[in-house]
Amino acid sequence: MRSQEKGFTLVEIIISVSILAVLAVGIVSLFITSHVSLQKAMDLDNAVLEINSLIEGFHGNENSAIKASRFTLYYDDNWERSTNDSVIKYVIYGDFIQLSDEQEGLFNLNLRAVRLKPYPFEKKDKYEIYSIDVIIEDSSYWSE
Amino acid sequence: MIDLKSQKGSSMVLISLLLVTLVVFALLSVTISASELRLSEKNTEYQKTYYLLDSEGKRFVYDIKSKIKKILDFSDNTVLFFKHLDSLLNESISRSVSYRYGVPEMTIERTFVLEENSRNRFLKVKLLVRQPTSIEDNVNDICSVLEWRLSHEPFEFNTTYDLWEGKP
Repeated sequence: MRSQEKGFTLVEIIISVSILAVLAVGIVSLFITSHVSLQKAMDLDNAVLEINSLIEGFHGNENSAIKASRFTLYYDDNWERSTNDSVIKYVIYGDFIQLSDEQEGLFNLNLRAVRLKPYPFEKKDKYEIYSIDVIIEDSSYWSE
Repeated sequence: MIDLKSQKGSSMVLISLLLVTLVVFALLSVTISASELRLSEKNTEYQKTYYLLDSEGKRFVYDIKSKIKKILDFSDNTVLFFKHLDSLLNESISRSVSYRYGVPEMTIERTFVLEENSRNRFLKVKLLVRQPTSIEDNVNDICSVLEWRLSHEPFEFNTTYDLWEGKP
């Protein structure tokens, strides 16, 4: 009779493959977690940068017609402004409100950066990246 | 040199090494991205505090300017301008009147403090209010910002270090 000792049995292969699969899933999930964290960090940095530039733009603006209004800005994957619906990934919502009737010429600007697509393995459809409230003064108000 | 007579188990060793390498790189990647996220959050907090203080300062300047406008609207007497302004200002606001070429001017000062990551950040606003020459004067010509300084406690207020005075 020939010896049956060479090679692996089916059970041995199934066990080793399943052990490898479990380990591989663990490792892949670590890489995905890392990717999501990095993406969140990048989104936060870009949102802060974009919102800061918007605020600074409004600080020097004398056109009060723009103020006391709402606006929405659309951005693509690289935080470039876009109007193409298929590539829009981020949105910045702006809301100007006059503080009170007595405080004419002084506005509260609320800015919110939102990611429209969910991060990998996260359930939230929309994700608010950053939001801030700032006071904007209408520089033309006092010269009237 | 020892010659291995059997290669049994060598694939097991290779797979184990591969797995260990992958785990090490995955952990490194997670650590780096987590610290990157922490850094971004810290920067966000810093920017938020900056604009909060800036907003408080803007509100303060607006408040002073509206008081000046109120005086100009309701009083014809520009000589009593500082007396009226003094009575309208809150007691907690520090101010001083000085004379420049015989003309009075008021310096109004206020410091705003905000805590950020268990450290205080300050905004010092100093305004110069000149006496109006007529009630037609523009508020922006009467009131101007002398100082608008944002500072961080450990860097700006630590005077325990000896400064090198440039002498050998």
